[in-house]
Amino acid sequence: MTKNSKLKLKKCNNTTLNVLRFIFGALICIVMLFPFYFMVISSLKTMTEYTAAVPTLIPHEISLDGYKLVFSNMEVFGKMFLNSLTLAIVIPVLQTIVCLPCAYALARLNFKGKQFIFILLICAMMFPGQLTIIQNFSTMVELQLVNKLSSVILLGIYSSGAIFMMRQYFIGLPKELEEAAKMDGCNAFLSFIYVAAPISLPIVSTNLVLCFNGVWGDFFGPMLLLKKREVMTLPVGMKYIMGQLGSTTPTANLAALTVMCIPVIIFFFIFRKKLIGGIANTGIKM
Amino acid sequence: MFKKTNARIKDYQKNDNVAYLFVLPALVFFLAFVLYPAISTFRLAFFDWDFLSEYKTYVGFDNFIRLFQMNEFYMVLGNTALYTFITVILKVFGGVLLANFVFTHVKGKVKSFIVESALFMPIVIPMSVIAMIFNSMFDTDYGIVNGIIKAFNSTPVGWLTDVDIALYTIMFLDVFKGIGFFFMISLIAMRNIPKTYYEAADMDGAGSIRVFTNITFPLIGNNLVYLLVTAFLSSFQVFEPIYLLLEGKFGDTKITISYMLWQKAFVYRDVGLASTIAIVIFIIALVVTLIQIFVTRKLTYNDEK
Repeated sequence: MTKNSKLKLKKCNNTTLNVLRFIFGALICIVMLFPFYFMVISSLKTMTEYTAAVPTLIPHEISLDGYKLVFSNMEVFGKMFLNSLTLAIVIPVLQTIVCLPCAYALARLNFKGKQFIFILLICAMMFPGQLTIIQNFSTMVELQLVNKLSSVILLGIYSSGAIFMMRQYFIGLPKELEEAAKMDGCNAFLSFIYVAAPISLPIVSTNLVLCFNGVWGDFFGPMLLLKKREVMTLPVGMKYIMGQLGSTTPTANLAALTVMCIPVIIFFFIFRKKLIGGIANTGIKM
Repeated sequence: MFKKTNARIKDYQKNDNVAYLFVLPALVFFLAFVLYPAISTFRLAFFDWDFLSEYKTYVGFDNFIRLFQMNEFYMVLGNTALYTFITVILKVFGGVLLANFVFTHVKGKVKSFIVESALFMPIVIPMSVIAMIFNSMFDTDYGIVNGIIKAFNSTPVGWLTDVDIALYTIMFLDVFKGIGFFFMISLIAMRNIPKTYYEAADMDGAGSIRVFTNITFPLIGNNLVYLLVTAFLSSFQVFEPIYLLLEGKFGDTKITISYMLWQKAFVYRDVGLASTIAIVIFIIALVVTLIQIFVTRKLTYNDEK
């Protein structure tokens, strides 16, 4: 075989390979997106079509019965949505307020016991949630905070992960800015407020986005602490909503799920870069 | 003038007392809701308590003996081990292979945006939502998966109602939800590899498999340890999908260790036993983390050498 024909063979091989690669890529997308597609189309089906022996991939007849049922139960659903939103805003903000100064101090300031505190906080990263939840639950019972949103807020404020992420960021910043501030007569407190805090905006927003997302989907803690329907968050209340609507009309179930997904998907596309960057921050150790 | 600057330099080097003010709030929350409860769990393991009564009865090592004599405990450990093994392998190696696929073969901004988003999106959607979607999809009677099977005239499968299959359906759900994380981290790591390596490989005429085994994979090796440990820690503590989809089914023969802990603590109110389970979970997590630290050190040490 001459060199030329070899090259040709390679080229032809490449086109078939490229088609196969394209199909594989498309297949990944289909598998990953199918559940969401299924959710949306099923929520739009009529009950007879939903329960038909052979399912359809495109609804023949679009019906909004499921959505009507969901929005007629708005009182329950809306309350849960509001609870979720409250937690998902309050916890990230408080967490950042509490953890940012701590991260700054661990990264930049000299004080006795710094090493000890740092190691203590590192060790805490190894604690699985299950190790602390038993006593935390009983603490909340004692404080009479069960069935109050504040119990979940209190447990959510401290985060080792947030502190380390922000500490890493401060370490990566040039020291000159704060040194200049110090030379100008700022003490550590003022140089934090006027210099370090404003330039930490990128990492603060990353933490807000990651924490918002974490709280929005959080389940274990809220499930144990928020038992009354009026204080439930969406993930916890899901079973209740499903039980109430789904027993008679499964399409309403899927309509409720679609309504829950839409804000998250919008959130995802707005903050896509932040989320990916945040994950890279916490994950990459090269 | 010199004196003044010297004083300032000295001022700069001394302890910043304000640091205590900065650390204090976080430390208070850490002590109250992380360290104290962790220590308290070790104490509670030696008591018999039900959350409600005022007095805890000291029972020594009874809870540990009770746990280790339970057949249920070993069954649960077995389930958890199987679950963890399969999901970790699929998530990490699936994630790395998919990342390599996108890295080498998906060219063009639009295409890679679509594939990346499709893989990454399930991370952001709450697990409970995905679990509920899967509950409908894998429904034995009306689910679309069985619908497709029925369309081919095969017998429908009890995805979530058959004892032997249900746990595997949950594993699939977990991999579906979690693989994007491992995909994304591997992809970012691959994109950080200097292009010159690939140019050199291209000059030498290396095929895409050779490039993966000889360049990409070794260079993301450090991340791999982190990915495996992260996957392990999240998989072996799995609770939500088991609780949402398998609660009360199969006489609790298909539950994992976190579910058992929840059940003992919050259904049977057997706090002592639940605490011993929490300690078992902690020790497993600790051992795996220590292995991670050890292996990572060894890898970086070898790199430096």
